[in-house]
Amino acid sequence: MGTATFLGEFEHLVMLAVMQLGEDAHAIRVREQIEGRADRRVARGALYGTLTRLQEKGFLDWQVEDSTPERGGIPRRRFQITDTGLVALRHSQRAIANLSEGLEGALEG
Amino acid sequence: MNRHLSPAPPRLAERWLRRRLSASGVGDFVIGDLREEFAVRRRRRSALATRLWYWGQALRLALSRDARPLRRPPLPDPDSPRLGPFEVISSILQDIRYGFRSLLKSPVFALAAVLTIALGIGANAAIFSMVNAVLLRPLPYPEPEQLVRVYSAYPERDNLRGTASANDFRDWRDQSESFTQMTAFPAVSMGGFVLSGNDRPERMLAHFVEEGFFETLAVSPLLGRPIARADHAEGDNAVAVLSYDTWQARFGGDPAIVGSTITLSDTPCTVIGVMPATFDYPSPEGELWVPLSVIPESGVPRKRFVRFLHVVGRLAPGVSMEAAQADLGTVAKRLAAQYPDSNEQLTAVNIVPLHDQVTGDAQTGLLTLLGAVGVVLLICCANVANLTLVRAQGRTREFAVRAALGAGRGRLARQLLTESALLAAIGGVTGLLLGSVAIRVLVAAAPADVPRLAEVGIDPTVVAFSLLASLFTGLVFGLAPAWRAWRGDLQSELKLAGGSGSQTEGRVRMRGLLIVAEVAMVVVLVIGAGLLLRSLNELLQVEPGFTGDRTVTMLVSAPAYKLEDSGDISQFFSDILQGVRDVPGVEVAGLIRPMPLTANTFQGEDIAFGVVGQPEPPEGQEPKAYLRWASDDAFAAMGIPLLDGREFDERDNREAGELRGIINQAMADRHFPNGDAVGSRLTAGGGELAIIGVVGNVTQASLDEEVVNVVYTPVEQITRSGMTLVVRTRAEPAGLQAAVNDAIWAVNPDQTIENVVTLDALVNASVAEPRFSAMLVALFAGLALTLAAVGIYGVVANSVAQRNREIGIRMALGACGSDVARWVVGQGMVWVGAGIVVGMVIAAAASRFIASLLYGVTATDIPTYIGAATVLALVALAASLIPARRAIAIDPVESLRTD
Repeated sequence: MGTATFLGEFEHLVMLAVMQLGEDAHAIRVREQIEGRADRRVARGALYGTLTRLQEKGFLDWQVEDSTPERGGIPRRRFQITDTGLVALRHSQRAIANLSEGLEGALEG
Repeated sequence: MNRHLSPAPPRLAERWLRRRLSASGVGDFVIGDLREEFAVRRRRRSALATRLWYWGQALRLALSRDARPLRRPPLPDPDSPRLGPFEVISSILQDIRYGFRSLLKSPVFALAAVLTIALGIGANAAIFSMVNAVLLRPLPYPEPEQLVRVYSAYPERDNLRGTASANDFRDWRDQSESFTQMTAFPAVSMGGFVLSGNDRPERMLAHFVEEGFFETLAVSPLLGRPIARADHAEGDNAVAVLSYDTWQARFGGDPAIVGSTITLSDTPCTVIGVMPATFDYPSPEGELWVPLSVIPESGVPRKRFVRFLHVVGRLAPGVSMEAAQADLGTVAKRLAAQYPDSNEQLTAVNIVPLHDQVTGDAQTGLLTLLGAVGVVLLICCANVANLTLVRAQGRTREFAVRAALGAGRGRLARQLLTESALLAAIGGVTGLLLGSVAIRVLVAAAPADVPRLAEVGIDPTVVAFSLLASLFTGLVFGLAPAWRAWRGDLQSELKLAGGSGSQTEGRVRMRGLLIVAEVAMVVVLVIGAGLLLRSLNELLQVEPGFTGDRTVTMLVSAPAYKLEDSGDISQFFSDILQGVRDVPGVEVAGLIRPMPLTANTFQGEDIAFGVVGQPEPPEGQEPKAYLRWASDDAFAAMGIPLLDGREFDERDNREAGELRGIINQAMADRHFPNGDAVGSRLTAGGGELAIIGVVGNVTQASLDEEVVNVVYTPVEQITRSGMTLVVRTRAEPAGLQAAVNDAIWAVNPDQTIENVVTLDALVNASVAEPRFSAMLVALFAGLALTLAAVGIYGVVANSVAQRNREIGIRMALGACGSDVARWVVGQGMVWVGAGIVVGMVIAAAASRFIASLLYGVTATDIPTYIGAATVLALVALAASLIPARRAIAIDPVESLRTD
């Protein structure tokens, strides 16, 4: 399998956001989370495209939750990371950590 | 103005978005999210601004590249273990639909692939249907594995396939405990009856059977009842069971026939049953079954030394063949001790499955054909794999794009495999149709002595085999491109796909290996075909020892149930000879037994002999000779040359005072090297025999056997009931057959005349099986050669097309046409050469499998191997010359500009 389990940069961010949000991991919150904490603009198309792709790869899963009045009866999805997704996320995290080793001074400056 | 605007998102935008996102199945959630955000925004912003914002978001989602996964159907990854069966099936269906569309986009490729597969599958289905019917399908009787043939065995004489006497049969049956049923029937035709009552008498060939015949085979009549034990009691209560065909043809299928009386050879006989259409044991020629007991003691003496029966038994449940053989062996030893005069050497029995005995010699030939046709299928696979690789090359961009859009490589590989399976399925069904036509041709062309030929056809086993073979084909040729998709570096493929630069090394290597494999398999087939054809040629060169011009032969069995003693029988035959010789147009006629090159050769008998006046060989090491019978003029009629002494004539009868014999040349050379055979005497079986002549050698069972010692005795001196009448005519014999028949029927109106065949046809029929095998394998080899030529052409042509630019550069740098041609041809020929070497090694290793089918040529015959290699090299050369010519015609300027 080798390289396939590495996440793309944006995928990586989305996975982390979903994990951070836990019970609250709805698409809108994920977007806010990335925009807020990663300080980066998130295009709606990119977000949904990535969520779909991550789900197709088996890294993400979602459940249907009850609607709210603002949604006009349309239910919403809560995302969660699958076991495979967790493995992939750890894999990518470790790669970054390994490559960052010894560079702390430069990187944190 | 704001009041006119509702707090809900713009309906038109939402509806449009919903339609755009409907395929993904998650569009509603996205719209829900948008509504939620719209509501939040609306609280802070103006309605117009919010609506404009909404339109902006909708446009992006509907059109942006990033959001593409939202607009297409979900692509579940097959690697994901959490896929439900429904998703798998629906994604496979999706693959199939996609596969169909993409095949329709390249119809030439699809047609070529389907036809190639259909050829391979069709040939395999046809040959397999023969193997299935002849070798695999169990005999059409209940519990067929319990049915065995029981032979008398003479361990000291190496004869394990002896017939049994009626007395031995009864003792076997009554004294053994291993069988639930045992039955017997004469090993040779006992003739038949005349059915009177119709406009003209009709002759019907009968099977005379012992008790328990139908019970042993466990087949019930379609109508009425089988022959019961009481029916076998000798007397005048004659009964008969009709075959289905006879019932239909002679009695119009009237069910009332059961219980009615018909007149068979002037004897009233009750029809007690009709057998089903499928039942034709022991041979399809028989028209009715009657109790063997209708043949009186005078016809066939029930003596222990008269061994005229084939014995079939049904093993008791749980009894193995070994146990039954040991059990009956004890009985045989007891009989040998009890009746030393007749049974001394008969100290064992030999039990073989009835199935093996029925299928007999057909096995090796059929399995060779199956092997050959299997190789053809592999060659088809290699060719289609090549085609698919060429096509995959043109689709690199398509796959790279699909991968970029999120399709996993497993998914892409599966897509390719699905397309291969689709091709294989279409090819397989077409092949099965082709095969059903080929089966009819095969059955018509097959030699008549292939057993169970009538059962050959398409049945569920053949269909299952063809489907499995197709599936296998799809996997084999689909694997190469799928493997490349799985492993392939799509990024670099994508970059390369832009231009027609250079092929990747891996692809060149894979296609080269396919050519090596293909050429190797073709070499094996061509060598096999070459060996079989050479062997056939050698067989056709063999002189049978007789000349067949204008000569017809027919088996005439004296009506054993009618004639009183052996004097009657010899009178019967001399009357027939006289009658036939009086037919105008008959040049010469004689009787011989057994007829060479027929299945009746077991009618001969082996005798151990000594030569009077020569030192006696030690006990048990006496030379052996094969005993045959001949009448006066028999040698003249057969065209067997008389080399010394004289032929039999009217003097050689029972009044001659001594037994006389004529020996063949081989025996004369071996035992009378001084040329003094005529006038010498042989000792055999306690008596003496005077040699009165020497005749030429005649092949016995088949053309490829070694010539053995033969002693002919006069029919007038030793009588046998079944003889072959040999008639040489002045004109073509066909026109005289009716007159000859009439002459025979004038002696005995009931006489059945069987196996009417010209001597030429007999010789032809004896090579029918090797000819059939050789022709089919040659056909397959030709097919394989054609496929290989197409395959090599395809690879070299494609290579030239891919290297257009490289060739252009070479020519621009000063390479001349012949350099380029040499280079192009050389590319292909390296692979071809490797294939030829590999093929020759495989052929040599596999040669022992066909060694038993060869005559006069060894399985490692060097000239055949060299010939096959040369043929292949020439075909490959021709196949690569066409693209080479195209390469020469490349205009360097043009090829460089197109980049």
